Amino acid sequence: MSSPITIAHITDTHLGYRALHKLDPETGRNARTVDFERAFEWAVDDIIARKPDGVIHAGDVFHQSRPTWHCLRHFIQQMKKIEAAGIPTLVIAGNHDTPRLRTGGSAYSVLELTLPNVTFYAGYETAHDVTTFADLNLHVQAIPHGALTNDDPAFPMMRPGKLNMMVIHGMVKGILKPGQHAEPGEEELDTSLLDHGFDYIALGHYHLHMQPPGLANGWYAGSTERNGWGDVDATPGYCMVTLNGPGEGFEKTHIPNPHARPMLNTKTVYADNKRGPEIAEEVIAAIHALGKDEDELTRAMVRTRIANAERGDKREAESILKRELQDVVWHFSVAADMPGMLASADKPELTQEFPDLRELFGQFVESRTGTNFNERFARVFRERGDAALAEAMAAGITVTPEEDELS
Amino acid sequence: MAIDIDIDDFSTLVGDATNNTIWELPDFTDLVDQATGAIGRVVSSEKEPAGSHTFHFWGADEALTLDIGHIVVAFSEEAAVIGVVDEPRRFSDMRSFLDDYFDRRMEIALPENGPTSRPEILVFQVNVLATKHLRPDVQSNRPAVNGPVFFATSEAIGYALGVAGFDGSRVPALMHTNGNYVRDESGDVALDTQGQKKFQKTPLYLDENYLLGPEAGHANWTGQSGLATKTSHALFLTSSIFQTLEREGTTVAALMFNVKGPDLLWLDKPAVPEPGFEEVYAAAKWKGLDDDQLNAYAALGLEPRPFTNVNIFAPFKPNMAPPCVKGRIDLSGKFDKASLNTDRHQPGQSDRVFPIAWSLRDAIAYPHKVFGFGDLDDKFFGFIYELREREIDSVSRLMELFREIDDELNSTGNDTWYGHHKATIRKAENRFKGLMRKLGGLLTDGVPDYGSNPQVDHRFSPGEIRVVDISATNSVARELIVTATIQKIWDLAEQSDMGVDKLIVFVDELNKYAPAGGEGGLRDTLVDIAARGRHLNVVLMGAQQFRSKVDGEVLGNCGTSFYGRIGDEEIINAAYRSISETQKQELLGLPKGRLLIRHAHYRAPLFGTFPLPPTLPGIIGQRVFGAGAESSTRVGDMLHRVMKDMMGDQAPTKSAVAAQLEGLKAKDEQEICDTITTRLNGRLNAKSRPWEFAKNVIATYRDARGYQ
Repeated sequence: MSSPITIAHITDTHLGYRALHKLDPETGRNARTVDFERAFEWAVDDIIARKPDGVIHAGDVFHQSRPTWHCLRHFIQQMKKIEAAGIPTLVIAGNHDTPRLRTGGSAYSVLELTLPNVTFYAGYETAHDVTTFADLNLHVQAIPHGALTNDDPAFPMMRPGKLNMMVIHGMVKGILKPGQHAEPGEEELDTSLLDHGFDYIALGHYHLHMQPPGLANGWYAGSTERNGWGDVDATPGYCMVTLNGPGEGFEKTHIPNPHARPMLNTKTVYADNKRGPEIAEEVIAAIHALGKDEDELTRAMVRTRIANAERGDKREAESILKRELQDVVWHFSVAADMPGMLASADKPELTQEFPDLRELFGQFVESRTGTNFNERFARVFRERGDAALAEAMAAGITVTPEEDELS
Repeated sequence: MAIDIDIDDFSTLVGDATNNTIWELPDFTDLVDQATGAIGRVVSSEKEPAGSHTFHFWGADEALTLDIGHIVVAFSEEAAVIGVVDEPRRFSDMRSFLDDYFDRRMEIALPENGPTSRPEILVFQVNVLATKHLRPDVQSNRPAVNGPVFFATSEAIGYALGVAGFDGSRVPALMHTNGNYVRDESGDVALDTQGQKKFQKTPLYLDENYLLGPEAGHANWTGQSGLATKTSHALFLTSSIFQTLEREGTTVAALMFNVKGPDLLWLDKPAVPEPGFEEVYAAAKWKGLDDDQLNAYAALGLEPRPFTNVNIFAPFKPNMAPPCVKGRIDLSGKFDKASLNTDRHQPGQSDRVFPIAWSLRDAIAYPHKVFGFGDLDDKFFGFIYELREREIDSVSRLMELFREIDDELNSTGNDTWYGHHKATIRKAENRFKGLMRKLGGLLTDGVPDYGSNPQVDHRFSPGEIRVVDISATNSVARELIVTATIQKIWDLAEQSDMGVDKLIVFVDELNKYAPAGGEGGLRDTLVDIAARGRHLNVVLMGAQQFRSKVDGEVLGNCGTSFYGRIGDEEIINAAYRSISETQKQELLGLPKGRLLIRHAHYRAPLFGTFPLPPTLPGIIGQRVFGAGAESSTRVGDMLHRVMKDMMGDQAPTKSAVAAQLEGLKAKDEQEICDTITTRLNGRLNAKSRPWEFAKNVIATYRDARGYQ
């Protein structure tokens, strides 16, 4: 096939993301989880309506490597719609989809059975797929997150005479400052891997829709919803990419998600000897100064930084604001008063994404076998370790997803 | 011919005024060639007495091999005086040339073979190299007394050159040929492979501590271009230094600038063809090293092997740099090596060829070199400082800024922008727009990102020869590259971060970069290197056609100098005043492969020869490997080199590599090697398995290309 083809490039759907103690009034489930599910549903419906020749998901389908039944069910439901539309689809696993332990097993093993017409690459090896999009003469080098964690690095390889596309999940070098990470466990992508010879490189991991510096043939599609405040500058959505032919370039269109929940930072409020009620008044004025209409504010997550405030005054202001703003904004929070927290878009904030330590600990104990393995010791070790971790987490030593609004 | 003079009958020839047989003492028997016997007699006269540093002797009629540059031994009362033969003069008792004319042309001419012949003697001047007293603790400078003169043995030459007193290792530099013959155990004269009598040859060593520091340092070659074999000997000496230091465990690297054609581009190719390459070498009309050359290598204790770790750097050809995306040029991955401005870009041969690319920021760090002198007024400088402060680092960003300025000036109607008048800005815009053309392919329109690929001004690896190919770039870019590279390497040296113990910096056309009486960027740096380099383990090896045009401080700090053939206009300059008139006359017609050397340990300059360098000459290398012909490119060699670099002795054998690549062509191997190096360079650790990785790349490549 030599005429141009169109591929939907979607990524970072993070199904199963939870944050804030807010329930969705319709389902009674965590409201942010429902936000993400709706964002994915919107994307799938929009893709089907636009009738692309193929769909590629660049990883982080789920927020956790062991998704809940709800998440799995929702994902399968949506993907069945794409299957029914007859659009060939390829999905790779991101760092959130990949178990920290290689023996941990993957939800994708179940999905492969359930969605026979969707190709999944979730292991630890690079794949050169020429069958999923065989009718499109498209070769896809699929590099799941796991393949980037091997001792031997992944390497690019194109197929002459075909359209060549790479789909990969990681942080392209040069976006963040050297040594900085967006989250633990992410893999840095050197540009020597992102070869100029590919007709298009579908990137996943970074939630902002952008073209990494120096990469002429690759784009991050961006997430379909905003995660933490690190995504405040993101425009959630996905991309439609038209490949003109082997070596003939591409056109890319970003389709923004019109239903994404707004996320707004007000200007900083300087307390400077003001009392709680006065501070609260200034914050409310700052919210109105955003110039957003009532509908948008009632759907929005809003955050204000209160600087130079005494702790007591700040707490009083917070408690007043929570009461006064409950019908004005969807969710209000006060940002920690730390220099640089409200960084601009070119300095992405860190999002705190820690693995579930208790789950990790359990996997570790299960993986221990061998000649000296003592079953009784392992059971007691696991029970006591699990209890200690639970206690520590309850005491707030570990940052949980619910607290990431403070990040 | 042999000079068979019986030592017992010596007095019949030279007399024995002192009744001295000091040369027969055990302390001195090793110094004189007793088998050849005396070859002349020291003479001193009223007008020309023997001195501590010069004496004369007349040569025996039979001593037909005696000539300029030979080393001889005479004696004072208690010491052997070793010196180098200088000016020969033939004397007769004739008062004027007319006497002979009258003898031959008058009415009754003398018969051609008369009963007596007019005596003629050949008198040589000798410049003293060293004096060895019977007692080691006595420093003797007493002149030689009238008595016999002998050819010096290799031991005497070694003593005269102070080899025993070397602080550092002995670095073979040249081979000295004396007038006496080598004899076998039975005393018969040995013959070479041509059946000719073999002259005594002695290596001329340099003291490592006086060549590479810290006692003294640097080396300089001077001589006519193309005739003086400057580059050939610099390569030979570099190989000698590498091999000598390798034996003693000292790491060394060299930085060289290739200024002419393919001169230095094939330093990794052996002068002696590897098995299978004999025919292609012969087709390129390369005879290789003959037996004499190979014997010379053996005598010098060296192997004629090429350099194994050669990296070549070159700028892009004009307008051939990869595209700039968002102000950045990606050089971290693969790109077409043919876009580099070097003759070495053929598939299978370009795995060690890397780019030099400059951003605008790099270029405006050298405003005096980039812009014309007349342009650089205070206003223009002010605008350049403005660009620096605004961190305008790429041409694309600068052009964007000019558009913004233009819009602002047009919309506001102002004449100035941040204090800069629009005329200055227009002028700057014009000059900057011409910059990319002016700097050839050196200046790119973005900021280059090299990833983990080697860079021209980064640390060295042990045994590395880093060749910067500027032969095809224009003169402005050429000067900028040399200046910036040396200055940055010097910075590394000052931070003790060169990556090797010793670094050799070879600069051809030194008179251009450190001119006498000149001043400026690189001259100051080169003077600094000459003055302090030996303490910071950086050695400047400079070559030039005109020594008289090179800065005095650079030459003054140079512990070793070599002279090839020099033109008559040049040799009359003061830079050659320490060389005798005879040696100057010799230099005027010196053949290729022969040089005059001065070294810190030598009291007088000496002539010596050297074999061809152990690497293929550039022009031949270009013929053999530069055509990219299948016959001259053996699939597997490049990948084997890559594996050797990464794995050392653990690397697979050449045959194992070749087997893995069977059926693939040079361009396939090039792609495979590019993939391996771009992905593994800078990432190797204890867990890395480069060969397993390479096999995986090969298998994937075969799969992608549909090869079996």
